[in-house]
Amino acid sequence: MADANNSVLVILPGIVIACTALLVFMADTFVGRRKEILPWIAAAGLVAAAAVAAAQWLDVDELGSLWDLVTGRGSAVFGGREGEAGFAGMVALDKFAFYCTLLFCVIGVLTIMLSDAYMKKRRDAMGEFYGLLLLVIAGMFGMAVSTDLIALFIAFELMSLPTYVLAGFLRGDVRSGEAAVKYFVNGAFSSAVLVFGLALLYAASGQTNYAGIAEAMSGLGADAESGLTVVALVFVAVGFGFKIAAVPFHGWAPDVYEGAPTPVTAFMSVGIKAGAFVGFLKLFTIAAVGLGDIWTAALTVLAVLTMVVGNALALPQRNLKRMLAYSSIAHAGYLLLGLIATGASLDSAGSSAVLFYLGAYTFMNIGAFGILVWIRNRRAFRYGLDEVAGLARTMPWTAIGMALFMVSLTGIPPLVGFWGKFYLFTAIVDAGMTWLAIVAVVMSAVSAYYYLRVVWYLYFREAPEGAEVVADDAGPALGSAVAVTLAALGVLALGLYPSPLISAAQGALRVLIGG
Amino acid sequence: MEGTDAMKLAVALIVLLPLAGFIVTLVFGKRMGTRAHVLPVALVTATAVLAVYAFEWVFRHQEEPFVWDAFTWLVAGRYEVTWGFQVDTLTGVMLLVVGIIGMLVHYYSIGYMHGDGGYYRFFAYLNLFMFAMFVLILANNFLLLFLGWEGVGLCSYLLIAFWFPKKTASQAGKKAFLVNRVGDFGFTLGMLLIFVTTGTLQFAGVFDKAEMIGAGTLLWICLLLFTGAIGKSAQFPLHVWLPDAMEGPTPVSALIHAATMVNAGVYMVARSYPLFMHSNTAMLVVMVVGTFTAIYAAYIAITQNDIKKVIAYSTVSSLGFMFMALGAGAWAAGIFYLFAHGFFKGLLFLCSGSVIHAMGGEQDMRKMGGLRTRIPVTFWTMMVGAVALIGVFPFAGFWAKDEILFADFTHHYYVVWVVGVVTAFLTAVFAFRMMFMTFFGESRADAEVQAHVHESPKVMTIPLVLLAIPAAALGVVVGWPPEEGWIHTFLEPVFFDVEHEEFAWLGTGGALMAFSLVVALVGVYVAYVMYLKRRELPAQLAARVPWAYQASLRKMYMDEVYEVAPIRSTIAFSNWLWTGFDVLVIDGIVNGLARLWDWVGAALRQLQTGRVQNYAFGIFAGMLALVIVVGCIWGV
Repeated sequence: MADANNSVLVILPGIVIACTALLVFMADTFVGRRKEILPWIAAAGLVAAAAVAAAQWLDVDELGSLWDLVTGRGSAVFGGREGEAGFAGMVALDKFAFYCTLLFCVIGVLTIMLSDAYMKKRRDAMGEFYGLLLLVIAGMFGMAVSTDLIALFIAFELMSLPTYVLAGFLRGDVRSGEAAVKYFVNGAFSSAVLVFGLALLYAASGQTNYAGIAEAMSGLGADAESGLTVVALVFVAVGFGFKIAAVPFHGWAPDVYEGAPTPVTAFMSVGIKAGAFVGFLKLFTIAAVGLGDIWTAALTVLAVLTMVVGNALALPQRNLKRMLAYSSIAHAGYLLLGLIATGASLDSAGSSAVLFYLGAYTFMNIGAFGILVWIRNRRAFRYGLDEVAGLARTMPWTAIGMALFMVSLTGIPPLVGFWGKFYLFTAIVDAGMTWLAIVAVVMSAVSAYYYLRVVWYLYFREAPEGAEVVADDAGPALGSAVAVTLAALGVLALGLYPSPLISAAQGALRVLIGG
Repeated sequence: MEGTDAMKLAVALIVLLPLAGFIVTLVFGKRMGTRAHVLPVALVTATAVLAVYAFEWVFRHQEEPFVWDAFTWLVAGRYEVTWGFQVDTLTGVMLLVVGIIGMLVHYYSIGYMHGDGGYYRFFAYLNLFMFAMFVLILANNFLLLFLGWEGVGLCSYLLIAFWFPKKTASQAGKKAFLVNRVGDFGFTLGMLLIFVTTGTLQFAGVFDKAEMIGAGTLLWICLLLFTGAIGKSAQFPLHVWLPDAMEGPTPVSALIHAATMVNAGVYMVARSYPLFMHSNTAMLVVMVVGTFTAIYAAYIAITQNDIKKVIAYSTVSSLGFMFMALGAGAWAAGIFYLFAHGFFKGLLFLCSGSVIHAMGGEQDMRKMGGLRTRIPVTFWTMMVGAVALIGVFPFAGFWAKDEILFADFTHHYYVVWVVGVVTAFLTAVFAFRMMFMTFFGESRADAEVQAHVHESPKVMTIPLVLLAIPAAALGVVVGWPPEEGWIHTFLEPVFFDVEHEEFAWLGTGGALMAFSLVVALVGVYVAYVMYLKRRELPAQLAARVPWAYQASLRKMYMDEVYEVAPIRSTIAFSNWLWTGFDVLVIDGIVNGLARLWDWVGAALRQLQTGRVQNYAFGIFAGMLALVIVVGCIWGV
């Protein structure tokens, strides 16, 4: 049993993030007009959290093995320590949590940079925005470290509640407000379903701790697969499916993604998805590992529906923001394949593919949204496909970036999106569900149509009349430029050289599945 | 092993410095204007120094090659791709050739490309080429070698078509690219077969299993690899791209199409020695192709009037000579020839560039003449190159060529030996035809061109002199005494188990050597008579046997053969595919699917009402359905 000091240490990165959030809220009232400092504080907090997480895993004399991580020999970097549990086993900081913490901090920093120009126009709300963002990330961190149903649910709500506010951040805008209400109402509904599912899981096993549940379930033997567990796991899957916008629980997503401010949309499509995935990855693969057949059946249905409907809906969209929103649904479908592969084969390949894909998706999707923000900073832009026609001539670098992200999202080598899909699809094939991989590949082909259509517009269409009329007065948005550049470099570098990320993802999974 | 860390650093830098030069120059070069060469040249100089260091290292550790798996590049299932490097004695020789000639060509280009609109682009591509070439020779597995192989191919294509507004240049670039595709396809298949058979692409792993591979499979592997070599090293029948590649700037011809890239095929076959040594049939094929190419290209070179085309065909012929050596089992002699050839052929090309520079861009030898006194440095250095090429004692070519012919003879390949001697004779004739037409006699150029003839600037002539030294002396230094020279002992760890013939001065060896020297000198004399003393003779000869003359002048009608057989039939087949199959079947399917998807999307959109109650209902209904479906599956 860990003592109290250890418990604090275990969730120290989360504490750093949460305290930074409070610091931002407080500083907001003191700094007066100098609000530009707030994003710096927020970003510094995230970097500090990442550093704390890293320090917990890296012994100083083992820094030499950082080279191993860079050169793709992976997991040795984590010092070979087992995870450390805290608060009577409710949370555990392990390689998995370490990987996720780093990922979340990257997502957070990129989002902060992305919202730079956007927030400069809304200076009064800066404190709320960055503070709430940090709280969401603290919730995501909680999802990664939870090893108990109660901790999971608290983290889940900590992640969800500030998001509702962020979605309705444009108070003057009817659509933003409407989006927030829709999201909140449906979110409350699905949270209720989730907590019901968790309660039923407790009822079936008499335990709230993941490991305890797994043990109790295996003790039950064949009786474990009762109606009660089916309902419990399906309910959990529903709550989870809502957060990742899996079909048919996706209704809110297009409206919210379109109504919310673009940086928030970027964050939600990547961050919330990542947080939900890692939380449920841990729950399903530890607590419900013996019940893999049940939840993989539920998730298989969701995955097929999500991939098909998400792509079908994205196909006719001529509004780029809406197209990215729908396609984000489709990507949740591909991600589900990794979970299914792990559930079906009890092999960690699928789960590590999920972790890898979350990293890859972070760069390419934040980058794609970032390009939209960037264009909007430079000129009048309502996200229409026709408006980016001929962009290659007026804004060549922006067009290259956009093309890069579109090609990567399609999954074409040598960009990181290809490897993401490659690992997911090989995992599902190895798990013996080749037909699912075929569905996924066909759906990827469908997605090529709407992604590459953007590239076609960028390069082979003439710009519409008067495309350059209004210049925005927001001034140079350095932050979003840096964010997009970093994302583009990430997409390229990890595409050419994916092994550090994949070996880190594989190393992270060893604690969960012991592979 | 002592000093491996320094070696790791050196190898990493050898690869990274040119790459950095390429990136920086490509991005910022335009702004640098006429100073764009400073960084790439400096980096390549540093690389050359490091290459010499690496050579020196392997010189001290001949028995123990340096092997370094730098990092894992990709992981795909159980297969890993690593950036792994190795430096053994064979690599050491290649490092010297590539590093030193590459550096000198960079300096030379400062003068040659001066004032060109694409100045920075040229240096960026040259640096990229150096990167790819070093990857090729340093790789310790077939895949990385292939990466470098394709990289140098790309650079070759970019640089041949460097003056792409000129139609012939862009056409030549495309031709090189397409012809090389054929060879590379064979190489790729060969790699696949290796991987399927042995389960690895690491040189060490593959070669360890070489003996276990069945004879049939091994033959196929060797032939497929050799197909790649035929394309890259311009052997018959895939040689057609190399003469056309002369459309590129002359420094490119010297570096890529004489001294380094075209040798990659020879290097690859030599590297795969443990495979080839177990397949006599494959060796025979290599020898026959090389021998045929050698005499065939030399015969064409005799009548060409473009100074660069003569050297280009001479290069094809020389590469044929190298394959002849490898096929005949004279592995070390083949690499020896490669080593020497890199220097003297690079020198000849750079000299021809200097001549062209002096003549204001003129390449036709019929409009030259009498340049001997006008551009003396170019003349004397080119003379050294020509003498080395035809193999006159004691210049570099002499020792290498003689060892190859000696091996042909002692291994009882008498026909090959005869062909080799005839090729040597033809080489002497065309090389001195070129020298006499260019430098001797009276000038046949326009008065205006004559007035502007000038020696090239120092930055061009100094590299010529520096290349002339090894072209003259290299043979004696590394090849003396014959068959026992330093190069043989140096390469022995790589070409283990090679049968070794004793060289007897007062026996076969000495006799053959004297004979080939006589043949070369007779060739020079014939050229002297025909092209300097009695200049009406060639025309009379051409009138007497027009078919022989025309066949040589028209390059044995190879371009025409290609036009009829593969090109037209491919176009016809492609047309059928396009109209018959693609438009009807494929487009039909694709369009039909697209319409289906449009319909599905539109239908689903109806569900996206924007009403929160509907969404909540969707969640509820979905939940119920899911419970029922999963419940039914499990029957609970």
